[in-house]
Amino acid sequence: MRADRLGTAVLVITAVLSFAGAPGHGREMRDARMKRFVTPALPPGEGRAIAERSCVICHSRMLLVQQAKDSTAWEKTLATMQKWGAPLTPAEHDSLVRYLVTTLGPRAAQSPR
Amino acid sequence: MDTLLSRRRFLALAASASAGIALGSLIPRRALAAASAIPDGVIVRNDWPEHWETQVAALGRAPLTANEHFFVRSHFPVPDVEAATWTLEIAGACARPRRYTLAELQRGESSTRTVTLECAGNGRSRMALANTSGTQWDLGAVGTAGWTGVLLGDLLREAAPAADAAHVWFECADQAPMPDVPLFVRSIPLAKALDDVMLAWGMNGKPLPRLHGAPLRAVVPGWFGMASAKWVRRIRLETKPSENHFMIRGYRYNAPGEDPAKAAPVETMRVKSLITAPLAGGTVKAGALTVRGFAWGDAPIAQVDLSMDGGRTWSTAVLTGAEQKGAWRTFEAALPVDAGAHALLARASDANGVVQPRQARINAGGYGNNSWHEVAFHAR
Ligand code: HEC
Repeated sequence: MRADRLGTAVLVITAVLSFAGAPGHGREMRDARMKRFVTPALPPGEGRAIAERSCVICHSRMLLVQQAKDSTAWEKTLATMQKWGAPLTPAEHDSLVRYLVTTLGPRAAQSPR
Repeated sequence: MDTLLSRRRFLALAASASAGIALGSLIPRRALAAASAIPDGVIVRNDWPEHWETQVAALGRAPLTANEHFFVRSHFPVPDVEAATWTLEIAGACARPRRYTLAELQRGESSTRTVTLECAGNGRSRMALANTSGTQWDLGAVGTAGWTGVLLGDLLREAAPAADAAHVWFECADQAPMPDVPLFVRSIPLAKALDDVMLAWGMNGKPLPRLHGAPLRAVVPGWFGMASAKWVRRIRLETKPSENHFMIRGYRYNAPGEDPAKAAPVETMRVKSLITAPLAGGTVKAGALTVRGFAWGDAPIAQVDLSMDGGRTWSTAVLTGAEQKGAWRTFEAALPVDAGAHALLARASDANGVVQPRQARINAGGYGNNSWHEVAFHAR
């Protein structure tokens, strides 16, 4: 259950963080049942605004926040997202890759659990 | 239909743009507003579209997984489909294409079958990968329900497939909020479709919930969940498998760096077991430990073995309940346990002699992780 509890804790913490950081979510926060539902905030860093604008159209931020990718893997994901319609100029693309690799980069290879 | 859907999507976007609302802020809020409350027993991996897994403790409560706990994996937001006006079309390479309303389907001969569905990415977060991809599921993207519906084979025989028809494509009503995202299409071989595939409108004795594909979803026993397409509106008989994104680029066992299109497709479930008691991190009484769990795969489960010494020695659990094709098997055992810290391992084998591996082979998508389940707990 460790991972399960951790998951819930992360959601609650990120819910609080995103509440603090995003006044627009106040309405959702008032409903206690929705607490675990509020999307986590993207990690701070240069490039976050680009991700907020281009990457949270077809799916939640949660899909980004749970990743751990090096630049090759992020480039691959972005190529698909752009093909599907994520709006990014070439300069925004480069800033976004830097942001994603810095904040959501590869994890150390796990030993099997 | 494809052009119609794309057009509708495009109009929705155009409407939001003309209302002067930025795409990035409008759509998420709409998706949030449409979302359902999260029941206890569920872990949210992605809030929209919904990727929810079931807590192992909730899975362990009964052999059938409650509808409100059953894992959810949607590629796109739940579509707005009205059961009253919805139709299923059988089309393509057949002599008698036809359209059914839900009422027409329900007037025919229906049946209920217990079937286990597992997301192909279940356990992905436990694969030893430095670079991850997709939803980081832990253990609970699996569940078993009693599904009520019609046998797809009956409808297909009625349609009289052409001699060269060899694949059945499921086309679905869900779609991304931008028009260039491919629709979700999956195909299965005609032989499988004629064998035991269901089109279901009921789940555990209740109407199929919208989150699980109402009005109608496919249930493909023995295959990973992506085959069991939700919100199915058209079934096409074709000579070839679909080349949709979700067939060619997604759901492939490609090694890191390998082209997915050249790798083996992800299809049938792999032999696997899950310990539901004791729970990881839990404390039990020293003495006789009751072990419980489920084992499943694409073939009947023959045996489940348990080890308390890292896999050096094993004892065989008792398979309980009846064998039902396509459904998981419950297992149980009583093991002596001293006070202290322990790690329990489970390993299932199927009727073809395939044994669950200590560690599943790595693939870039993290699919099909059927590595042994290890549960660390304390006895006192
Ligand atoms: C046009 C719609 C759309 C936009 C915009 C979009 N995505 Fe996606 N994204 C998708 C779809 C569709 C999937 C796959 C969904 C599935 O498999 O269910 C996906 C999946 C993902 C995944 C999981 C798969 C993987 O590669 O690990 C990540 C991460 C991701 N997107 C990141 C992003 C980022 C970063 C951006 C911003 C540049 C973005 N997305 C913008 C549609 C979009």
